[in-house]
Amino acid sequence: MSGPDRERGKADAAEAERIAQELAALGEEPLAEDDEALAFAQSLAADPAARPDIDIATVQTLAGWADAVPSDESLSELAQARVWRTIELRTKSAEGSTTPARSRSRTRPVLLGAVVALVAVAAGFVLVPVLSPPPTSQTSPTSPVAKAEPAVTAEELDVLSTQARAGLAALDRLSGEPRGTARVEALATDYARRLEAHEGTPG
Amino acid sequence: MTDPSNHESKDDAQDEERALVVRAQAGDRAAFRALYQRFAPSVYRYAIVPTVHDRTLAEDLLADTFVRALENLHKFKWQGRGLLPWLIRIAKNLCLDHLRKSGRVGAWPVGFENLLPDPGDLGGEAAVSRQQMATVMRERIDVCLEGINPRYRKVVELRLVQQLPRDRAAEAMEVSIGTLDVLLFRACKAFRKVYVQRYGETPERDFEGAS
Repeated sequence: MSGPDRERGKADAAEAERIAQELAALGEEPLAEDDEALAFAQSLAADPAARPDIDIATVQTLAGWADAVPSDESLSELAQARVWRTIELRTKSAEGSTTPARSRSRTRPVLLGAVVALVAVAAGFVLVPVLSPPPTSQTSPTSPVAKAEPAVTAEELDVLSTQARAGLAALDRLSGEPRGTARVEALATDYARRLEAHEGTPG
Repeated sequence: MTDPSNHESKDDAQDEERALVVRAQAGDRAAFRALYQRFAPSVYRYAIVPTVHDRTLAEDLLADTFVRALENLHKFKWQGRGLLPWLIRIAKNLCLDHLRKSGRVGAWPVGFENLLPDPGDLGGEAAVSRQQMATVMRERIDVCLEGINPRYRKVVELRLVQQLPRDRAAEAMEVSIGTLDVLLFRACKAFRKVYVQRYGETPERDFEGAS
């Protein structure tokens, strides 16, 4: 036992002795070993703000209920509006944790469909001109068709790719689920990679 | 002699309230807000403030009451008494739960909420008065104090009713502060014993789907 603890122990013992003597003088029952009342008194002596015994707190609350009526205990309009805002916030946040989940589940197929369609369109722009047979194999080099439909350039491919990614990003923001379109984006990247493999380096 | 127009206006008010309840049960937020505007002051004044004695806490508990009411409104069945008694029961139980969790009241005076009569039973919220509850509780405290020894009665009166600080109460009791604390501890155990013997512990709750 350390010095301060020993001192504290001595003080507690002296206080317990004094309490025991006063109780005896009043004709009260003597303190028992590990007496709860004494432990309570010692806890208050160490910390007067210590949490009170539950039965003492209860009698105190009952006594409070028996108090005289406060002169004004009405709810002001301001307080009423303040409480309503609290209720709205709490009920909306509770709804927010469920409703969006429901709406997400409903909109997910639509959003994914839109993403797939967007990628398909973007891929169509890229694939149709790029994978079309070279003009020289079917038409003469002087054919007007060959002149009208040149193979896609690296710059055009870059533009299309950027637009497709921007569309995906916009859908991500709408859906709030970046992971929802991740696979589609991976597909788009895969398309670009395959195009590169087919046509050489596009960009 | 009663004025027939009073009956009509009361019936109209009941019809209007019932229509609001039905709309609110169907999810109409405006109808629920109208019910809030109508009943929040009564719930606050007659059920919450008298129980917790703290305006800020009372506002929190009022919000809790209406959030709980909204969550359970689908369980409410119209029985001709209106929504207020149901709201007051929710509020009383929330107040008690709060007091218990915060260590301000133990499990044994459970029947206290019955001290607040339902306004529907008594024909109007005026019957549910803070004064009534105070009077009944004062009587109960007096009965319990009569049932314990005079020294314990005195220490409870000094510390918990008159709320004297410990040193002044000890002085009045002519004991040290430590002995005062021991006496108060023993007095409250004795008080509890008499209260429970006299008024019983009634852990059951009468609470229509709003626990």
